Amino acid sequence: MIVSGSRTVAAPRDALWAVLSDPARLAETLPGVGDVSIEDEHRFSAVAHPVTALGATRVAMDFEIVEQRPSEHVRISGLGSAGENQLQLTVALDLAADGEGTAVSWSADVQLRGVWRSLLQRGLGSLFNEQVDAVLAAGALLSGASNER
Amino acid sequence: MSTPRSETTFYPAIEQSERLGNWSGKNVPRKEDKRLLKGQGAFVDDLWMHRQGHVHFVRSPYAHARITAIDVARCEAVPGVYATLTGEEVGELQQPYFQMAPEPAGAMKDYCMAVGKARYMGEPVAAVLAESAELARDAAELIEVSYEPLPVVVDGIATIEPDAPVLHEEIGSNVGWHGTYDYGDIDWAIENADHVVRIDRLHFHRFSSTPLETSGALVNWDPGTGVVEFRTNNQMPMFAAMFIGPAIGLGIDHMQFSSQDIGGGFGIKITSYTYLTALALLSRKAGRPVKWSESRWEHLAASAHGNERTFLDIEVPVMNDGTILGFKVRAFDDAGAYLRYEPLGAVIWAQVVPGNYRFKHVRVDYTESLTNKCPVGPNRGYSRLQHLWMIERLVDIVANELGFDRVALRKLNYVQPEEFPYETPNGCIYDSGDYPAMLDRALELIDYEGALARQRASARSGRRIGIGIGSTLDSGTNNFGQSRIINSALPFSGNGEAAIVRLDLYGEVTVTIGTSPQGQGHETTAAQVTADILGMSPDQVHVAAGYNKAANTYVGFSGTYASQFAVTGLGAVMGAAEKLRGEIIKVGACMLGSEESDIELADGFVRLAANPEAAIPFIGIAATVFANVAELPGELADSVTLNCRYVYRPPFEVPDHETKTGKLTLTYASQVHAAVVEVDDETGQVTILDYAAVDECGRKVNPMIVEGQVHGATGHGVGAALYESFEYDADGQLLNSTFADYHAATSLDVPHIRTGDIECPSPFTPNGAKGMGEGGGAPLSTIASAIEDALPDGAHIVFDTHNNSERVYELLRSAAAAGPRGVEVISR
Repeated sequence: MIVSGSRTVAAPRDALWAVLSDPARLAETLPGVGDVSIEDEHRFSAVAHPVTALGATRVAMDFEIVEQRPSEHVRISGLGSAGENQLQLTVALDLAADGEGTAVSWSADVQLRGVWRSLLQRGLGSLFNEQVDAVLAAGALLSGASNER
Repeated sequence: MSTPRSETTFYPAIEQSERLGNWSGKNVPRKEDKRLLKGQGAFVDDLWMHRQGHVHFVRSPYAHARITAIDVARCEAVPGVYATLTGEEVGELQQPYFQMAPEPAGAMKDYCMAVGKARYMGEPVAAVLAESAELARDAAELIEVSYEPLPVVVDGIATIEPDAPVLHEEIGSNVGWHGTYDYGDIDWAIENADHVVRIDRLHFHRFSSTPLETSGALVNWDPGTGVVEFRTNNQMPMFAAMFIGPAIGLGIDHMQFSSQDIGGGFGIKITSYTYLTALALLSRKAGRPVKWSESRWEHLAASAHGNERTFLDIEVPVMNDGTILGFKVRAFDDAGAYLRYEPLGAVIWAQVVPGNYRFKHVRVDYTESLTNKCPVGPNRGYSRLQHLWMIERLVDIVANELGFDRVALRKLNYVQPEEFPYETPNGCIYDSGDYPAMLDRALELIDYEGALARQRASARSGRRIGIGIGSTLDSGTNNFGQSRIINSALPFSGNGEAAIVRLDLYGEVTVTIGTSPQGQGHETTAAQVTADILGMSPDQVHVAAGYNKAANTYVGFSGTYASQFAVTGLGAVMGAAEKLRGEIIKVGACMLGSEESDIELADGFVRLAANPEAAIPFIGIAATVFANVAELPGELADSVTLNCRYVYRPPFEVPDHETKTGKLTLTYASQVHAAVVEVDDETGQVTILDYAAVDECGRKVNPMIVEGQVHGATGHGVGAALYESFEYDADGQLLNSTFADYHAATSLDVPHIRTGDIECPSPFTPNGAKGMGEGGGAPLSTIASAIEDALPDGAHIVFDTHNNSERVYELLRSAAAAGPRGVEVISR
């Protein structure tokens, strides 16, 4: 499933980029995520506990920053599993200066396997966009700025 | 054309019981309901054994992937986790299951869990045994499985192409079976027909049953005796034993199966033997009983689905007067990832080659294919409803394309009442029936003339009203010899069922049977026929609930499946009751000092017919035989047991493998349904305005139970036609594996059903009954027919069994766009 969106964040592009391109700081922005383990400058793992119709589910995720152009573009892939369910995603974020803030557009290819494929297929788009919103909001805060739409 | 013959032409003469009728044929309240309605039934999840653990299966998220590693260390370290079992271990502990397919598909290596690679989403790859079901589920998340994804194929036709990813390397292709059935001379018929109607494609979709109780079992491998106890809701335990025993080295004597109440089966609980195998291995490894109750999503994703079938290149030769000569078709049946019960479906359909019609020339080129989807099981109406739906579609399409009235065309081509017993082109014998009268009754129930008037009036107001007809057969009491048509080496033929009827010490009459009922009321109907034969009330007959291999008698075909209990099960009960009757009379005559011919049984007494005052209660007979036996002459005492076993055996012979002909089934119940629907032009929503179901199943033992099954089967069919369909994406992910998306029909979805019946006793069964309950196919034909009738005049055909609002909306739009119709008529 392809999910995309865009928004403007009230944070300077370089400051926001500094958060999004740093696994340690990026992990801090991910909602409901703990047990972050930094493997190197491109790879990190984390445990998320998203709440679905099945209840709070523990999802062990491995992330890798697979592509980046400083202050412009970052592409991150992730693979997570919880029992017989699996989440695989590749998300690309593109940043552009927009006055004092940053215009961010994203596109993600998200694949669900297992019963998640059935349960989450309809809500995935809005769910994912909420997550990206939360990441960008947290990223803006971490970069020292407030953010707004 | 076949001509009427006496039944002795087809089967040896059979003596039908004259003792039935006092209780048989009556609406005797179900004995089972006393406990079921009070919540006192005993289902698998109600069972408990000391030291039992609970099982959770870890399932593949991939539809096709190599398993490169499984690490269970973290899981096993959790306190309360007793054991784990992986596919790798299974590969060492289990021999691949016996396959019914001939080579090359017969070389398939199928295990109870994925060994080496997973072939469908939801396939078990590991199992966890823990002190609670919740802990087992949580701990299962700590099992780390590494997968290497492989290309996926989900299309039942594309899968046989040379470049398709192969599921089972040992087979070398994804063809599970292929063969051509050729009866009559279809080439001649097509060449000489006045018209040939060609239909590009028809598709029977994938759906299943949704029993209230999902699969489950409590299994204990006793380390002391080596006996494995399976308390399970598997609906054909002796069939399961045939697969489990050789696979894990158990003799039948070391397998004990039992069940009491089963919350629905519909055929798909036959193939749960794979889970039973895994549970047995896990119990042996852990040294404790193991319990598993399938969750609903597990059931929907990984239990068993009904067969999906696609029909291509259909050609129907038709004469000017409307006589349909037959048809030819290429059929592709999608078995999913394993053959489990297949390729039996590749021959089961041949029980009903011409459907309800007198078609004489038929060629079916049949391919059983394998895809990365859940394996199929023998779901209600197994393999026949696919074929029968195709036939009903082609009859409607012929009528529409050539301008015949659909009712008249059916009546012209139906097997006529005077032609029974009727021999089909492949040698099957339809025992009895009156299809034209059934159609008349169905049309009467929907007020056909009134419906036509409503249809005409509605057309003027912009509403779309359609009238549909569906005729089907419910063939019952299989001849398992038909399996040799798909594999001549298979050691199966005939059929049978066993029962014991005994008189106990205090005069109790007890019946045990080899069947495993799932709601069909066996306790009631067995009590009815026993009561008739022994001259007592059904209330005085105790029929043991459920199945218990140690306590009940059985044969290799024992179980409850394929519409046969009314014939095989009750045939066995009647035979055993007659034997017991004979013994009771023999002892009673001796005690009364009379001739056996002077004796009658009535009200639980043995008495002189001419002097009812001279009577001995059954307790007197039993007490004498069991506890006062010295009173009897030695010869008599040695000749009676009051414990009488009987095996009912239908009069089958082995079908011919080469010509693919023979008597494949003993009885043919039939259904004719009719419906009036309204199609919403804006949304495609289908609303059933009127629905009628007319059933014919020979002499009914309990009409109320029959009507209940008619309602259930009709509801199931309506659900499949409008709501229930398993949808996979291109990656083999099931898109609707919960009830949030897979909408099983409820009472709110099923219309009021007007039922009618016609009784045509079978001349081939000991009680005139026919097996029934699988008539779920009729609504699929009826609703497709009605929707097509509601579409703009002849603009498009309904090519699929499943017609939810979205599909009907598309049909309406494509009709408006005058797209390709997929039908061609060649007239000479």
